[in-house]
Amino acid sequence: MKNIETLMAELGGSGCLLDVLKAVQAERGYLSDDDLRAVAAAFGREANSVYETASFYGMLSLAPEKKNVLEFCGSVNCEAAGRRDVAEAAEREIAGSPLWEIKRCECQGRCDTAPNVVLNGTAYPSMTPEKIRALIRKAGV
Amino acid sequence: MEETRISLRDAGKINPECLDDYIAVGGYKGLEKARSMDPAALIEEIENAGKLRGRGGAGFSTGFKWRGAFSTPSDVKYVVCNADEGEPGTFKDRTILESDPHTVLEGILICAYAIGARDAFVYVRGEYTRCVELLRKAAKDVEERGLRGETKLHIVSGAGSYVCGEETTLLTSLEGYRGEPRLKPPFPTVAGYLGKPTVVNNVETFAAVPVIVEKGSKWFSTIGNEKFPGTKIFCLSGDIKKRGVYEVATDAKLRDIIDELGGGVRDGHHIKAVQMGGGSCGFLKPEQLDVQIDFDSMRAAGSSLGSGAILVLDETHDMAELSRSIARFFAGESCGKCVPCREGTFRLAEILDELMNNRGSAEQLTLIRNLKSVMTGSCFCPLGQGAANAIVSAMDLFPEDFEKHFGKREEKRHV
Repeated sequence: MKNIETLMAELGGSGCLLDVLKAVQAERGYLSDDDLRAVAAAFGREANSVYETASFYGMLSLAPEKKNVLEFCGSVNCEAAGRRDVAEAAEREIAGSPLWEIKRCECQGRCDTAPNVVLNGTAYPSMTPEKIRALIRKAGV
Repeated sequence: MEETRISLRDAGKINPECLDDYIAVGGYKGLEKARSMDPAALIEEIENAGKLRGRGGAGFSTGFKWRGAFSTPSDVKYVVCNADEGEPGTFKDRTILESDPHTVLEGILICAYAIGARDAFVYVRGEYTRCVELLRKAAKDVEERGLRGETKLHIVSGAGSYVCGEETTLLTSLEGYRGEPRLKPPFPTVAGYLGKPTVVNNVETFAAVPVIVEKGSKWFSTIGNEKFPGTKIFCLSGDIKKRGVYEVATDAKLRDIIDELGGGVRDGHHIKAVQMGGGSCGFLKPEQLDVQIDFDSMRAAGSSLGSGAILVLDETHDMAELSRSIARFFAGESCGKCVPCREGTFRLAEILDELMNNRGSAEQLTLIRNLKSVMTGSCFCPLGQGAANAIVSAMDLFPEDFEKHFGKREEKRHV
């Protein structure tokens, strides 16, 4: 596993904390307390200050995620395009599965293909109840 | 009606990964011309461009911002491009960056030269991974080709937060902190990134700059509405035949954009409401659509140009249900810094939940109106100040949609 210095060097010294946290998360799966301490040290900041930042942003995780993370956009555009039917179909499909988590995400900026969902980081456009069921089955409940 | 393309002039015509393609269509000529000018004269040209007004949502004068940062004495100054396009229904910046990243970088470099900035940042929202990829490649190519001059370009990326689109919040986030807004004044042009004078402009604004510099402010002033010249990009979504991104001159009518470019609503249906500008903007009824889309006309019509999002809704929608969705969105996005927003957005969502669950009454609608007036007057930033706008607008225009839920039980479960 790469250490924080290597990850920061790969970013070309942009020096932005969020980019570094995202790179660490991509490498480790989530941000542990030790990771946050290491990043804080690299930035010359207090660990609690980096924790404050990390806990704020929706794309950063402070605990291991489930195997499959399904995200629904919370905007009115997806709502108007039928997100609720899709979300209900998804909930029924994965009911009780310990491998799945459903959460809300930001607008994906693809409202021309609403409703959109994000499965494990990849956006899927023009969702319908049928399509989401197929997507979930393919990933495995 | 036809599109008039300035910011999207190269979209679909060039390979966004190829610097030579951009140069072949006249790219970086504006930068070359800018660098031959005196910075003060360059800023005057942007000011003269019929007062180029920002395309991010607030419509603030771009030249005024540049002038402000230029005339604030400081050894270090910054340019920041706001590519944190989080407003629901808006996807113009993504379209620009995915089709022509160099035009944005050129606009940024022109601004950096004008105000004397050695570092320029593009803050791209975390969801736009493709844009980050393209911009990093483009910035590297600019560096290798020796086009960047005195300015270093940094492409940085957010991590999922709506409020970071607000400029002072964006700067706080760029500095590596929680996305919380700062008090204005001081404005970023006086004390922005790391407390230094900073110009923050939107992607669409920067994309127009190279053409304005190259062709001159006089040319730009002749396009569209004379008080708000140029073009504006609109993002059509909702119950419309041809959803997508369209760039039109600013004297276009909203109805023409919807009917002619968007192809109108699905057959057999009719428009119930149109929401312009994003989640915090009021609704328009179908009879209110004959309005010119420039900043001031939209405001006079009780709506807002905002980011250029146009959500078209047909008669199948329940405005109370959509209002609840809007309330939940803002409750989820409130950063928590100020109490009126943190508690106000929460209560809006809670009240609308009650309404949708058999506990609705006229008193609750009054409560929402009271909340709106408190939040508009006391919230720290535009998120809270505008959170109840669309909801109250829906209550005003479609009271029957709310009244029908008084004492009715909602059958469906929601996520």
